[in-house]
Amino acid sequence: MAGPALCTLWTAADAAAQSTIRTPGDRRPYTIEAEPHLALGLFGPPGDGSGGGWGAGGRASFEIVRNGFIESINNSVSIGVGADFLHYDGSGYVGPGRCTRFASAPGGAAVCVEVSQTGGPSNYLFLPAVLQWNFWLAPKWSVFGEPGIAIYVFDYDSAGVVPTLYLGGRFHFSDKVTLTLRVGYPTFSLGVSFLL
Amino acid sequence: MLVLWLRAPFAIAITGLLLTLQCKTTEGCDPSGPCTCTGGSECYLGCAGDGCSQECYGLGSACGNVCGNRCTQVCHDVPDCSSSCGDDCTIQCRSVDSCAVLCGARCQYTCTSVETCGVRAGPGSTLRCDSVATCNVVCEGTCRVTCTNVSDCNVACAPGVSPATCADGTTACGGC
Repeated sequence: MAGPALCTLWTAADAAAQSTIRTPGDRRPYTIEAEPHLALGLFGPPGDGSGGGWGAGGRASFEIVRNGFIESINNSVSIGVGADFLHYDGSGYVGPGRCTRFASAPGGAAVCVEVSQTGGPSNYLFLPAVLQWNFWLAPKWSVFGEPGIAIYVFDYDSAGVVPTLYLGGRFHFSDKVTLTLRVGYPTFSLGVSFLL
Repeated sequence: MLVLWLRAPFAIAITGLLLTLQCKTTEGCDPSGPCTCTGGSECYLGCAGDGCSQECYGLGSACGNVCGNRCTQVCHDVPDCSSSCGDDCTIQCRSVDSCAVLCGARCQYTCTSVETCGVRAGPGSTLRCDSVATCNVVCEGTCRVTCTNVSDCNVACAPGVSPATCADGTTACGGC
């Protein structure tokens, strides 16, 4: 009975002992974080697409403030840009669509030649731009929040802009390489970051 | 080494962009089952690939069917119908004001009880207008056109080819 409790106490004490959050700048400096990743769209995408999505992408985050918005703790700020390509399976229910391109038939009547229709499969290219606020908790762990926007190109001819919000964490394999998980909207991602 | 790391995300981004451009599919109806649109003002149906069976009827304004190859498209009891289809499509319009169609090779087009029919079809197509005020046909290769009870039947062939009147009363591009 006392074993798990002691273990928990030991882990907490160990983590506290190794904490770097109260030591501003206590981390290896880097200029850019290059992060290829797999992407998941667990929420419905913006625009006419629907269903769950999967794909891949990458992010490049450039550190602009080494000691971030709060001077007393170990935090930093980066600007991140990237690209994610996702295929969405659709919802299974195909609703009435709208015509996105017309051509002329003999006699001049308009013929719809391209349809944007909810419910079917679709492809998205997201181009996010975010402000990444990092918190360097411990030598092995860091977390971040990323508000921003993303331009999305939907099925090749429609585009839009959507606000984004991500929360993420990194497990640091070494000073330069981390496993990086990001949750939020419009996509989730799991990748490897290279702090260069 | 640094350059390689820097290039990784951009290479992935470019690959994604290329996939986006190369894997173009029109979303919409599932080829594995029929897809129907009825009620409301207007409706446009796409197809997630080839081989869709699309039907529009009973709409207040317009209906458009868009599909790849080997599709069946039906539109009736709608003021304005349009169809866009690739090769080997079967397209029917009936009881509408206008039926405008663009289709590829071996198109089977039937326009019945319609004010104005207009179709541009690929080679090897069979086109039929029945009980129609105006039937405008442009064939981009060989085709056979049948006009029955049509006030104004206009057939145009590919440049340099004149439509021929066949013994059975049909009109042909590229010889009877």
